[in-house]
Amino acid sequence: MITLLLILCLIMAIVPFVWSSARAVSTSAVIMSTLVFGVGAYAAWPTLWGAPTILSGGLWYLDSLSSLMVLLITFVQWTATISSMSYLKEEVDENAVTVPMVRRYYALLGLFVLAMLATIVSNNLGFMWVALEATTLATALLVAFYARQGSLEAAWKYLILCSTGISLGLIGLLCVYYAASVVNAATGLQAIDWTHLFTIAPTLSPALMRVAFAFILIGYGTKVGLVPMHAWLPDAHSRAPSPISGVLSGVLLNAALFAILRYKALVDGSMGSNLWTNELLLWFGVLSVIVPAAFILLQTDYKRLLAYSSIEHMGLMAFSIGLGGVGVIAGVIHMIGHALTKSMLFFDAGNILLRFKSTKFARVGDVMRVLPYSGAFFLVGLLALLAVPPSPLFMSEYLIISTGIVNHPWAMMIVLIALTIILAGFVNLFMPFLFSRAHLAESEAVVPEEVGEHWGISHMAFSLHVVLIAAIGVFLWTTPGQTLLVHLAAVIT
Amino acid sequence: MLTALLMVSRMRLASLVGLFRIQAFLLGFYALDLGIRLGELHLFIIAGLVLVLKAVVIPTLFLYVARSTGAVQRLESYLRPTTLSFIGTLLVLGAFLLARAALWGGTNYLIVGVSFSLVILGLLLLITRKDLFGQGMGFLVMENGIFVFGLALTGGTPFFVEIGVMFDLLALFVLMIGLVRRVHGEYSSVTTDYLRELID
Repeated sequence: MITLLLILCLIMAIVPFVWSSARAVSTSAVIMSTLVFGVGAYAAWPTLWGAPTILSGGLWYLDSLSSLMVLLITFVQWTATISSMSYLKEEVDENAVTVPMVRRYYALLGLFVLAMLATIVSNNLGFMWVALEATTLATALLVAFYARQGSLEAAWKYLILCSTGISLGLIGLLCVYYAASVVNAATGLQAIDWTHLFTIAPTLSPALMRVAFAFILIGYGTKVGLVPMHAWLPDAHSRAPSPISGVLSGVLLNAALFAILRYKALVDGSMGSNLWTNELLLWFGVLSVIVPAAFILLQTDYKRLLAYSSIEHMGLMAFSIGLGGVGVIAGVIHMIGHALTKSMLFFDAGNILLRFKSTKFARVGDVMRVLPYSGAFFLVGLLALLAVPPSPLFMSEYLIISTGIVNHPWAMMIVLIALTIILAGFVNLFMPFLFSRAHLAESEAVVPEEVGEHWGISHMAFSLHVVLIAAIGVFLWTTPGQTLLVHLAAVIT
Repeated sequence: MLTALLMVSRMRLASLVGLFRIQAFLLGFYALDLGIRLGELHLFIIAGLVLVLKAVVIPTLFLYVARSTGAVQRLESYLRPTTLSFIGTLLVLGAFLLARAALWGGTNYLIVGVSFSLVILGLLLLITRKDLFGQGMGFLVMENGIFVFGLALTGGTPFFVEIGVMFDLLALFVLMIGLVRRVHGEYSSVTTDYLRELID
């Protein structure tokens, strides 16, 4: 089933080259991505609730957490393709984008999804590395899609920083391989199968695994966007076409975090406790929440602001997983909530960008009047992101705070202050953005001639997101929801 | 593996690429040697791949693109060559000390030291070079270092993973070349001086 899913993604990457008009290319891409979503959901749904399974002769491994990731990835790529359809249609109509570019766009999107899914379902740590690097390669060209000055810079930075980071991760992988080959005769591919390593974890040398984890955290952490290594993230996310930014931010960062968690389980097993890894994740998390807070407060570009907010949320996830216990549950909820909310906000930012032709706060205002539907969805998304119930983020942040205050009061205090600053920054910048144009300088303001918009296909996708966010937010408070959460969190600890 | 040290101070593109070629040859022969000693078939294949890809294909393509974009032959760096060789030497010493401190089991600490110094020198190149070619080279040197590390520690990763890594590296390289060309088309230059719009 998983093999079929990956093959479908590959077909999705090839199909655009069959058609000649932009419209046909888009339609076929949407059909393919719907299929991918369907198959992904069908394949991952049983393992989300049930026991972990090894598939295709040990090649793939699905436990509840990776099933959750597969569901999130396939869902977000589906809505991303739907919003790409209207996004690219408008760009083609304005001659900003040519048909070959549209084809390349969908092809790369397909490869990107393929690489992401492969990262998640690989049982072999080596393949996981290859797939994670492949996500960088596929998206670098998407970031450089417009071939404008800023996007080229962003793509170069992205390529160099992430590849360097992942190469450092390779050193970590080699250390793990070495540790495994010392204790046990199994060589070759099987030696770095995660399931195999997990069973022999207690016999692995803790010192070596520690070195490995340090490299993995620095290396893959670059891809997650944890703070000292985050420099590529705001650039790449703000310069990529908006639907791509949504996928990057919503699920790619999670995929990288997922890879770190896989290693964390091994290192914890080898060291016999999770204190050391938790401490590391915790402080990287704190750092990744406070630094973006400063940038969010004084941001001039709304896509960059959303990107910094992604860093902050990834930081929160690392922080809450580092807290351990209930914190891990909160981390999982945060992962779900953030993936759904942030991707929708980025897709929606694409609609706003198309109308106003600018990503600067100084040039955009009164979105609610000019774009009533997109504006309304943006507002809902913002509220969900700021953890207004019934958003799942409310539940996760509530749990993080209640656990954090007990376990790490000082770290929690710092994070709370940073969160308050972020809230202030969001409200300060987005309220005028949505409701008034008073802040626009008269000469600078670009007032679009058109006011109002039609209900488009992208709005359908946004409604799906909103319904899901609310439904999941409510569902997780019920008993089956909580059983599921405990089931998910058991994978991490 | 003195080549990396020399590379740090080399300013001319042609000599930089030439040194990289020599380094790749040494790397390939190391893998070959290891293959003979351990008697493993896959090491031979990998040695062959390294020789073909890193010693022939990549440097040749690099020079070709450099010529076709008419890139300046003299590259720029943030620091002077003499300063760089000094820092490079210090870093190599540091890397060897680190390798000795972290000496695990029966691995040859000389080789581990060499691989560490390659990684660190690659990073140094990556950081100090102003132009896209120099940065790309720095990345490749670092990759070589990791490759040596893998060979020294475990006799190479499993075959299929190694192939995957190679493939990724090649794709990365092609992408880099593509981006360099686009940047060149946009600015008619390959220095990163123009690429500093996005800071905050």
